[in-house]
Amino acid sequence: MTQFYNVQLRGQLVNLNISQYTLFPQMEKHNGENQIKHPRLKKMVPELRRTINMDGIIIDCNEYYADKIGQSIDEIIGLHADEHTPPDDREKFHEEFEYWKKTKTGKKILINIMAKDGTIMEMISSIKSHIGEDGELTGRTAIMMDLNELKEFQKIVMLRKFESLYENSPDLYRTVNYNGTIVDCNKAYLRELGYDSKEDVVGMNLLEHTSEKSIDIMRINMANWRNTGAGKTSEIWMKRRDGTEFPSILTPTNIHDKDGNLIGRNVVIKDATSMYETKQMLSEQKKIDRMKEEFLSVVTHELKSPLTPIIGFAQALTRPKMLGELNEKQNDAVITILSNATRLRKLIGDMLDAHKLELKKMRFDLKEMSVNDLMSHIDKSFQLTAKEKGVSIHCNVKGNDEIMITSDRDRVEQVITNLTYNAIDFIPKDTGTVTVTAEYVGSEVQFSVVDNGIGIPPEKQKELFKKFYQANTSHDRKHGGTGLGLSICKGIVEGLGGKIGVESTENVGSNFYFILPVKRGDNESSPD
Amino acid sequence: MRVLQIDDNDDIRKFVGMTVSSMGHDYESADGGRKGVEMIENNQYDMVLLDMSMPEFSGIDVINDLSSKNLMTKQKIVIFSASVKKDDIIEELQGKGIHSFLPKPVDIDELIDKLTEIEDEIK
Repeated sequence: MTQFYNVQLRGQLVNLNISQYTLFPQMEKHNGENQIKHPRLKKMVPELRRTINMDGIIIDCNEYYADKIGQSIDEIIGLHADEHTPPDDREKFHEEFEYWKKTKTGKKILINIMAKDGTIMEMISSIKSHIGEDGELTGRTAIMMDLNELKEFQKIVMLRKFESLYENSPDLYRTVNYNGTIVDCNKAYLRELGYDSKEDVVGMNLLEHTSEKSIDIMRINMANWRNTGAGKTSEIWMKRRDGTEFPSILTPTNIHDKDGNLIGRNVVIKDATSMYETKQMLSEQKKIDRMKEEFLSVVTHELKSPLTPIIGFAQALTRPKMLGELNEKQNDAVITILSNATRLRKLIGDMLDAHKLELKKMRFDLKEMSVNDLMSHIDKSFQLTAKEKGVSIHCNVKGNDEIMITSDRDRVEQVITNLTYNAIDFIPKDTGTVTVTAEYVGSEVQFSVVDNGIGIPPEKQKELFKKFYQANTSHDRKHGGTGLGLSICKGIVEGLGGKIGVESTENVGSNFYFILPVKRGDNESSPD
Repeated sequence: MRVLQIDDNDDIRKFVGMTVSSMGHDYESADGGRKGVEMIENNQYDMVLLDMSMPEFSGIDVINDLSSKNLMTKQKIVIFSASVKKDDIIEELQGKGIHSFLPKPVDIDELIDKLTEIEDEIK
């Protein structure tokens, strides 16, 4: 609720809207000014207050207004506001005054005020309205600030802001002239470089604070700047007073005088020691990674080399035509050597593949290939194993489809073979079956390896494709392996742009399937 | 068919030599790259099985040397290597006139197939 009361203002009765003045209870005395106690608090940009009635007659003003106008308060009261308005601005003032009367709203405006001696001052003005008991306007107070004073104040604020930023910044600041001579610097700069006072540093050339290893870059930077005025952030080794050095990042900003001439540059210097150390560490880490890779490459090469004659001669021994007939015991021994050597070869291959996948370095050789050919090739290659284990293994394309896909034949074969060997490990002897099929599913091709083995409990199914995971750790490791096989299958399938998954029911069997696109697209390298 | 193998591993040469001979081909070998190039310069082979990682004068050196001497097309060169960097090697040898790549350790059937394949091509 708005309250009004009548106050006596220098002989005139005025109705005041209390809500507007409750902030200034001592208004009559101080006219809205707050008390000042600090001895050095300077009154920058004082508020000029002037109250006029509905006829435009000045009925009150404060001392600042009187000072600016150059008249006493008593002289001013009773004058028309036009007296303090430059003749050219009177029309504009009247318009605004009428607008205010009509709408009861005062606008924040820029107006000119004229002193007694004719000096014109630009003011930013806001209006407070006074409303009588009947709800009608009774007058208004303009609160004005000299725009030039305001700008001056803002400039000082700016300078102080910069000065405090410069002097107290934790970063090192230095200002140089055209010649690279230091004309100013901040406390952090002095502290870091080991100087006691600015006098020690001002007048030195910046090259005296630059390490030998960065002097050439610094010279080039300065020469570029002198020629083009352009400066860029650079990494520079700084030199302290005691000769020690530290890496830093220099960011220059040009300094211009009021006419726009380039007079120097201010440089922010950030100590980059920790950044540098991190960089060193990273490059060290990269070196170690490279060495690891190199080591792995050498070791696998060294492991594979002796396997060539081992597997080769063992295979040759199984062929009577090559090295003569062996007796049954000898033949059995050779087959054992061969199967173990083959297992070793697979382990080395798996290790290498897992490593390649981890480094995302596996490449795929994409070519158009016939899935039908691949399936019959795999079918043939498994028949010996099937016979040995007394199980049934079949591998074919469903229906009469001719399936052509663009993919990496060797890698697709590797995945199918891997899944098939896995299945063989878990099916019962004599009644076990593994059926491998391929078929179009929409625009993709689905490969399924279905067995009637022991199955996989649901909670273990999604863990299966993780590296080193073994579903049956409790099984005294009857089903050996590195636990890499399925994670490699997943890596390869995904690398070929497909998906892999499993469906399984305990004691019924499992279906390991993967889906490949007919075309892998343009991306011939490994996936990122 | 006359086959040359360049490989520094004695046992691997012994095995390949046995297999190649058992198929009725002529087999010769060099235990280093430099000696291999020399033999190629002085003889006409149908097929060369070339190892990559050999001390002093590697498989790549052999290829580069043969290229500069315009001797690449004289015979079919099969890279026979256990190198892990198979992909890199293939890239490096792109456009140099290599016939194919046979990874170690090799299956005897793969070796026999490769020999048969080349024999069919030169017929």
